Amino acid sequence: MSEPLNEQLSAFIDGELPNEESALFVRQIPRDAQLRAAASRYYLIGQAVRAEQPSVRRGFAARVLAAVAQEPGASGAAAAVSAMARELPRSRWFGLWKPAAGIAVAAGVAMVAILFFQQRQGEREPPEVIAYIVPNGTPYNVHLRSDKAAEPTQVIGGTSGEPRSYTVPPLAPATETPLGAARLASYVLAHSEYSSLPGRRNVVSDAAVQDIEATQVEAAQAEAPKP
Amino acid sequence: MMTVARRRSLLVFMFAAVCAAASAAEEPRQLLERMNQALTGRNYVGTFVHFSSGHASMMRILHRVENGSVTERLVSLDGSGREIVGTSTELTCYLPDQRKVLVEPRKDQGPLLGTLPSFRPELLEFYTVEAHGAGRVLGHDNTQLVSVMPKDAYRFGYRLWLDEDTAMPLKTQLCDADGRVIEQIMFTELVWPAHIPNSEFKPQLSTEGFTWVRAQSPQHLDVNAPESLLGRAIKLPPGFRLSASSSQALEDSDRPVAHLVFSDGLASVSVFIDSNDRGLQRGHSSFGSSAAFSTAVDGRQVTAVGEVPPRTVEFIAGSVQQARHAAGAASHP
Repeated sequence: MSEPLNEQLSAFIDGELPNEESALFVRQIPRDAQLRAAASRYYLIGQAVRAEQPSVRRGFAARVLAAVAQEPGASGAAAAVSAMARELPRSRWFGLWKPAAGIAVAAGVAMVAILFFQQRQGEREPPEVIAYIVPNGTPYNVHLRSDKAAEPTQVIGGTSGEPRSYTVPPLAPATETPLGAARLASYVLAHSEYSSLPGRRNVVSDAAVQDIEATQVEAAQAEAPKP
Repeated sequence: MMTVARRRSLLVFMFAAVCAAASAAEEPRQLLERMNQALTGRNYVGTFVHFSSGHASMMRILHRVENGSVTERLVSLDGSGREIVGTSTELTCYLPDQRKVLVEPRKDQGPLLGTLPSFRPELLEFYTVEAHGAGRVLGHDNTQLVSVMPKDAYRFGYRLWLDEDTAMPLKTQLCDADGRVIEQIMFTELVWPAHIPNSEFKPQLSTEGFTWVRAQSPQHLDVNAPESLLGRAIKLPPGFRLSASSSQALEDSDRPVAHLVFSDGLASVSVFIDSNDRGLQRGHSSFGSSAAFSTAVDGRQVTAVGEVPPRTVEFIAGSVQQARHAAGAASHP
């Protein structure tokens, strides 16, 4: 994605793009898959560093990998990290990260990278994602999954040496979705009838855009033609 | 020793301060009331960007009020191409990526964009409603920022940027108790046409070969049903009360599922008690900004779901277990 477009996206997300430009920019988003992916990435990384969502699902890491894999010339985790690192400091989502991380990452954020952990041997699960913030050269690890906090990690990119790290515990232990996606979706939709507030809009919007790959699998099984 | 005159002055000053505070508190609540009226009572067509769960999505909303009848359409402009069309009696979800159409009876007349309930005095025990002055959003200079922030970590809050003239929410953020943004919706285009033709509410996709799934209306639970008794026995976070209970067949259930709804007047949590034998699970899940926690209680799957922090759904689902055990055989069906 071109640098001016990147800057525009960043300004747009923060509501700082002039109105005339916003109107033009908005028309591009539905037509430009790369632009949409970049917008998602900014939001996703902001979420990751805030570590406010305990629901780091299987699809999360897969989406990050898929997004960075589209970067020209990217190959492997290191390339993905450097691609993210190139892009991130320009994002104004830093404004959101600061309070959420609970640390004073003021003006001197030197580098932010997303680190990818190697896949567990013998498993075909997507790698775990860890956000790694380096304000003024001091590293902070933000673990997205509490059950991974104690595991040895392989750090890719960023400065090393200083052992100080800060782990943001999720509000509750994270697990893969224990319920089937179709079942969860049916609960959420049934609940949305009683959800009276702007949250209801979110539920309905989610129903319209949510990535429900697992639902598709279940639906396919349920609807398979009977012999 | 304070003189009588000084005491009087102090009382007058305190009274004036209380009046000023009351007046200041009135203003944002009036704005929110106007927002509700605008969202429910007028025509609008808008495009918004929805940031949630790592996705940025473009959505288009159409809302028409004609002869007292409301028609709505919500369309995903990218990816799935899903659509939701709402009339006064039905809600129809078109899921082209799954080649499926879900139809369910509409139980309320609230708009797809949602509204905030009237602020009863008891609601202010758990939320702070404040106006933060004017700003500029979507080319509107007179945009008022109103926040509805929770006083504890059991519920989420909102920041709403309302156009002062029309009271439409041009930008909305869902936040936790510390003000961290969880989800954001921002209109990029919003118009108020006097008339929207019927053709605008027809889905722009062919449903040939799609599976149509028609949901049944939920049945009210008998007040003496075991689940109703259980609902009244559950220990809840401060301010939450049982507000509805029903029994309904969900899409993937063989038998009806008991559905209890708990609300503090703004946030709400549903508890589903499912006796269908499909393997019992325990743990957290999420769907957009909705958190869910599942647990097994006496061979039943109990799941609490709501747009609240994960700790709240875990607290409530866990309380079902405690209440169930406390009630013992008395509440066993």
